[in-house]
Amino acid sequence: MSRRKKKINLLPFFRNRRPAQIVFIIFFLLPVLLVSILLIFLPVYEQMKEQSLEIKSGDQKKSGLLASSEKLAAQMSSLQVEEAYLKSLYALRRKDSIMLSIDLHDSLLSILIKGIPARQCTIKEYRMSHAIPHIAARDTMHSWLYPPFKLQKEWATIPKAPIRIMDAPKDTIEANAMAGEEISIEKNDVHFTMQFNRGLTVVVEQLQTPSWKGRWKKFIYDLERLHSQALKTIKELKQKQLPQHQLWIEVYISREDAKAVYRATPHSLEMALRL
Amino acid sequence: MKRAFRNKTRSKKRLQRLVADAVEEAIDYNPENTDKKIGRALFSGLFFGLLIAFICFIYSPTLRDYVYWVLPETHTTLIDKNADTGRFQREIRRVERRIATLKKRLAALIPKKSYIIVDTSGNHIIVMRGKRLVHKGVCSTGSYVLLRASNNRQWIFRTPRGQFKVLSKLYAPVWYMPDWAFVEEGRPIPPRDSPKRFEPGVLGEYALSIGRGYLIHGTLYKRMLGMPVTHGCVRVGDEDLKIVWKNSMFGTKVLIY
Repeated sequence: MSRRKKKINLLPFFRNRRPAQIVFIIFFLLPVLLVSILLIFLPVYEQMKEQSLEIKSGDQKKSGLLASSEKLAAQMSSLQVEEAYLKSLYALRRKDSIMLSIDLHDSLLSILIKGIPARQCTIKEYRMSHAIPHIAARDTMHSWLYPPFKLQKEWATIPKAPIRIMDAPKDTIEANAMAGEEISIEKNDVHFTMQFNRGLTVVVEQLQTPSWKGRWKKFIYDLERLHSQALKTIKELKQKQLPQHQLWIEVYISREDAKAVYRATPHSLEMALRL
Repeated sequence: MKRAFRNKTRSKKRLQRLVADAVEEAIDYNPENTDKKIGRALFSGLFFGLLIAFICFIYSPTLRDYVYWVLPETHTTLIDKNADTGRFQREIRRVERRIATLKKRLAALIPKKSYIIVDTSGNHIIVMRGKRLVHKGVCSTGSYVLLRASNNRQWIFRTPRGQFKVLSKLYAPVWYMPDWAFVEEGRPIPPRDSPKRFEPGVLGEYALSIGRGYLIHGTLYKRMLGMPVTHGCVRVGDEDLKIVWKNSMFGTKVLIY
């Protein structure tokens, strides 16, 4: 008596039911593939194609100006990036409000007023989008860095202005009672995100470990960011456009610096960036 | 005897297995049952597929970033071994010159004389000369209190931000009390020219006016220094105020952030 050959199971469930397994796999993969192609692979492909077109048009403009070695080309590229940063800084001097400069090369984040650095914070750590090296590898980096980036949207775990509403006392007795109230110094955890034009997002995180209350606030803030991102994607899809990939930079500075930077920066913020 | 018993048990087990296989096969080929299983597979596949698709949708920016991480970087720097090196180096020197000019222009923006920086979030006052720190002290800035009076009037007590200039230097300043000072204390508001409005001694020994009614001045409430408690002015301790006073003149820049 020969034993029946065992069927190969594609999945741990629907055992020994090949048609059910195939149906499950097809209907599982269908939405996953649709979303990943539409929202993940196609935008990347399109962006890469766009950049290569930019390069080609750039080639024509630069006709004749070619480097003889990679070293010279790299030197030129880094000089152009530095020039773009300095030009942005110089352009910011004309603005009346407070401006920002992020210099990842020197690990400095500065608050500028009329071009004068009012506060310089050391960036202890930073991370950046994997898409940025792709731009850096091309000759388009300096044109992306100038003119200064303009703020479009921001999210934070702390309010921009810690306004406390107080009703005027009716008489001096009530006023004396109110004057006795203790004033507490804010010790909130600070995380904030600034979304700029030209597809740049800057995430500022405090170095210190957040408290339990701070973690909850950060969770809510992360949800808000995700929600806003999802809405943006839906809007782009409605307009029959592929979502634009946001390039991000995440910098870690101290809580005090983060608070000062967030509170100081206006809604019409402009920023100079050096990578 | 034992062998016979063992053989019997083995054959019994074999028989059980055979029956189980046959039953399973029978279920497999039961068209009703198969339909049910396929329906179940369709719905569960779609459910889990949509769930994963939703997660992919939410985290699509992060996932896109990983795609970039996997992709190789394509260097498109324009290199030609037969290119004119001299011309390219001249272009490099031209860019270097432009950078040097920009650096000079930016350096010229920093005042050579003393200037004052006020940090409203940390409540610090700093005196700088060029790029050199002259003095750092503690101060008090706006409390961000929104005071609401009964007659629909309201005031917000915040220190303005931006670049200001010292417009006047006052010795032994006298405070002209605005309306909110009376409202805040629950006192009736006197007429504008009333002597009740003038209060000497509360602003310390010196004051620097930076415009729009805002002052950098001394205080009687030294315990409160370092806290956001003022009505918009910058309060400084006596020692710090002396240094600020000495290092400032008409037109000295005051940067508040």
